[in-house]
Amino acid sequence: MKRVMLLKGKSSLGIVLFLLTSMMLSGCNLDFDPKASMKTPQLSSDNESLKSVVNQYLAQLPSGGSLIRPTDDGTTSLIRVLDLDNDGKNEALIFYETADDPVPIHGVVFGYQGDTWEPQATIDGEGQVLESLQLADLTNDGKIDIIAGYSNGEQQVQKGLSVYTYSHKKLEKIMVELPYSYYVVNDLNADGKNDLSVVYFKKNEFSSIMTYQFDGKTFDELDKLDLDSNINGYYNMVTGKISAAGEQGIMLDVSLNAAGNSSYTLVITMEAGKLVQVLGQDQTYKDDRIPSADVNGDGILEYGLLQKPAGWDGVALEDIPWLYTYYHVGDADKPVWEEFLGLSIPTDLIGKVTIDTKSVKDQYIKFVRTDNGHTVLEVKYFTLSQWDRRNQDWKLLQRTSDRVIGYRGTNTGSKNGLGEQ
Amino acid sequence: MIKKGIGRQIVMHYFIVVFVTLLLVEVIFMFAIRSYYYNSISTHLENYAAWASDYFQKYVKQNEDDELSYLPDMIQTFKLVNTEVEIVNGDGVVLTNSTDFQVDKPVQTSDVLQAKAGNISKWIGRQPGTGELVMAVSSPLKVNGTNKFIIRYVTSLELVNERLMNITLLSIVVGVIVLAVVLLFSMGLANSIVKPINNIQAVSSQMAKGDFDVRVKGDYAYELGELAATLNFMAQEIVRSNQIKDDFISSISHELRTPLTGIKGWSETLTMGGFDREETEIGMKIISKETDRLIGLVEEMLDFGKLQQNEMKLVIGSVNIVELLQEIMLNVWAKAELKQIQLKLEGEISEPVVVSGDANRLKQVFLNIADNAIKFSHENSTIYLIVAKSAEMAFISVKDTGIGISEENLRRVKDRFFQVNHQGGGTGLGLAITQQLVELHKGELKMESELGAGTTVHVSLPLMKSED
Repeated sequence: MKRVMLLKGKSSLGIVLFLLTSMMLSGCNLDFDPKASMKTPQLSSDNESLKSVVNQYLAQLPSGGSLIRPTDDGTTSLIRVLDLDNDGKNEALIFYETADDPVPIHGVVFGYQGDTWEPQATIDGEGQVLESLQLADLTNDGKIDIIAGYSNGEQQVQKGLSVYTYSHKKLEKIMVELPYSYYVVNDLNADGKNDLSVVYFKKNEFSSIMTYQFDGKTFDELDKLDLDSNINGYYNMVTGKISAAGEQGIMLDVSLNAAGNSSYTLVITMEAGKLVQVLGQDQTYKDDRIPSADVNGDGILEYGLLQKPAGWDGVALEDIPWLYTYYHVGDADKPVWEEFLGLSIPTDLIGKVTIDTKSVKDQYIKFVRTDNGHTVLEVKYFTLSQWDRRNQDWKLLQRTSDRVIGYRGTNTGSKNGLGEQ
Repeated sequence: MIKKGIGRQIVMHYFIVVFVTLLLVEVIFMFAIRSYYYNSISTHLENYAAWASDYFQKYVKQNEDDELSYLPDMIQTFKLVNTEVEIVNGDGVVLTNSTDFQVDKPVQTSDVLQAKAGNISKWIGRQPGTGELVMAVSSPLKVNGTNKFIIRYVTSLELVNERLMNITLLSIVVGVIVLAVVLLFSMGLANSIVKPINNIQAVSSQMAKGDFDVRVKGDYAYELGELAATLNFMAQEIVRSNQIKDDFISSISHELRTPLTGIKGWSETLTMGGFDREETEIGMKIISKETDRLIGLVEEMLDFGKLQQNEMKLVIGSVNIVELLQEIMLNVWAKAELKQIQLKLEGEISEPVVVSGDANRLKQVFLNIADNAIKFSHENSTIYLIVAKSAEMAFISVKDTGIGISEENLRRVKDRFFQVNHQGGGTGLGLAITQQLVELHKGELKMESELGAGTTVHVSLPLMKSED
């Protein structure tokens, strides 16, 4: 009898446990998909509160607004946090557009007041599109100024450049709609103060480069250099060191026809307060668009030329597989960089490799050493189906909808940029 | 709770074993589930990053003029729910990301360094600024075979860890419940061992107080059953040996009183005087005979005492059994003659059968056996003394056709103080002494008997080892 009682006690205990467990299991969400537990990382609390303030600000606008970034630079964040007035506290700068507004582009500076962000000053943009936005100290007062370029969204219409300076919770517009095609901020006259160089161009009418510096009240034109306006246009403007000595200069890439296969590079510096053209069409003409840049990462700008590989004399120009070679200003004999379809030739092999003359442009290119004839690199053009059946040592170089360019190297060494395994 | 004792110890042992097992299982489970979660997420991110790399290489057209302006589109293309996407250049500088803010410091975590070298790899660590635990997976984006950018997916592991913590807590709760259930069961199981032990212990303590009538009741399994049976048997044996002792005391008293009565009667009679010489002589003989009997009794008891205390010293020499038995036959001849009993020596008697032993003690052994045989034989019967030997042992059997012993008594006949029939006289020590003497000689004594048909006593003794 007692035993039966005991058994009864145990089984009722079991029922209680079962109920408890099932309750817990149903109560707790036992979703075992790990991906469901992923979460976007938090912003810092500062950024979080700023973002909510910005969103609130946009939401209370009559027709709403959406944050924008300049069209020329995708790396610009939508909300920029920096110390505009050099008071040790950060301000936040946003640009937004209100589509149906007569003034569609707006800027707002938020300041940190007490323990929250508050809008301090606003900008009404002078155009339909925010073309450019740079933050640099153009007034040379230690405070960062806002350089904004606007356009009406159509290529032919000139762009206007405005500069705003921010202090004591106020924005002051110190330059209004300076017409420009390209602009750079630099210290061309090497006086330790930033200056602004602007290229303004209208096809077949005028083309000039002007350098301005702020004198405390307005922007003074330091110098102006007229350029050839009988060109198709400019496609690139960079500034930076143009010599190892640290001389600052501007490289302006000029396109001569709409097809874009004929261009040259202008190199301009400032000597004794005067803008000087150092190199021009005579030295830098090429039958292709090659943007100037610091391609080898040495801190000095290079301009590019087309190079006929050794041994290809007498071949029709359109059949030559041209190499891109890059030079420093004033050193036109010694290329510092050479590449083919973006594949760089190792620096120590420049001048020592050429393309085998049996190569056929757009089909098969073989790089050989000029000293011993060893194959260094092969580039081959595949159809898509050929590519799928390829030998695995071919690596992808470029791919289009109907063909693939592959390459395989035997001793190419490291590439430019990030390097590769 | 449970009172101190073996029950608590058993429950404790169950508890420890189950606890350690659960602990190990839970730890292993937690590691497994953690790596399952982390690996699933990193695989998800790696697959996506690999797809992004592949897609970028195949379909994103590079226009060197404004390579930076398509970065926001890339973020849109490659974004993944619940992650932050960053596009990083070779120096770890975050060019753009899916948040609205810029990242001021370059990223130098291992995943970026690995991606720089061309591999997809993951990194788990704390996000600078927020200190949030995140997993980052980076993959190179190649242009013309060159690593141009790195795409980096960052996801927070806080929710994952929270979920892992929930699972941990749940599994701990389940573990505790299992432990509790097991404890309840173990209490029941412990009872099945503890109850019999307690019962046996109670009975044995009663026995220790002198109550040998109690018995362990209940049918217990295995060792406990054996223990109970042994205890019961022990109590029974104690009762029996007490009974034997009591019997001995009464019989020894009787044995002592009988000769003493004779001695006293005759000595008083003789003290009165007036008897002729012949009568006096008879009286004195009786006194002397009864005294001899008393001395015999006392010697027997002394021997027994010595044997009991292991103080019996044997003078070992070589003894010819055949010669010894012939001597015995002469010694008991007179007694046998009274009952017209014949004694016959048979078996391997043509050669001497030599054993090692104390001649006097062996003589005592066989005298006692022969004496008993004569005592319990009918008149005009024959007693056979049979000698045999094997390679190492000598076998002597004394066979009579006397009254025999019942099976029940045969088991107890070697006990001290046991007498089948108290009227026969004697201490009941004879056979016990004989048995012990034989055992002292490394021999063996066995008896077989049938009531009414006679008794055979088998004695085996080790042969003297030949010197050659």
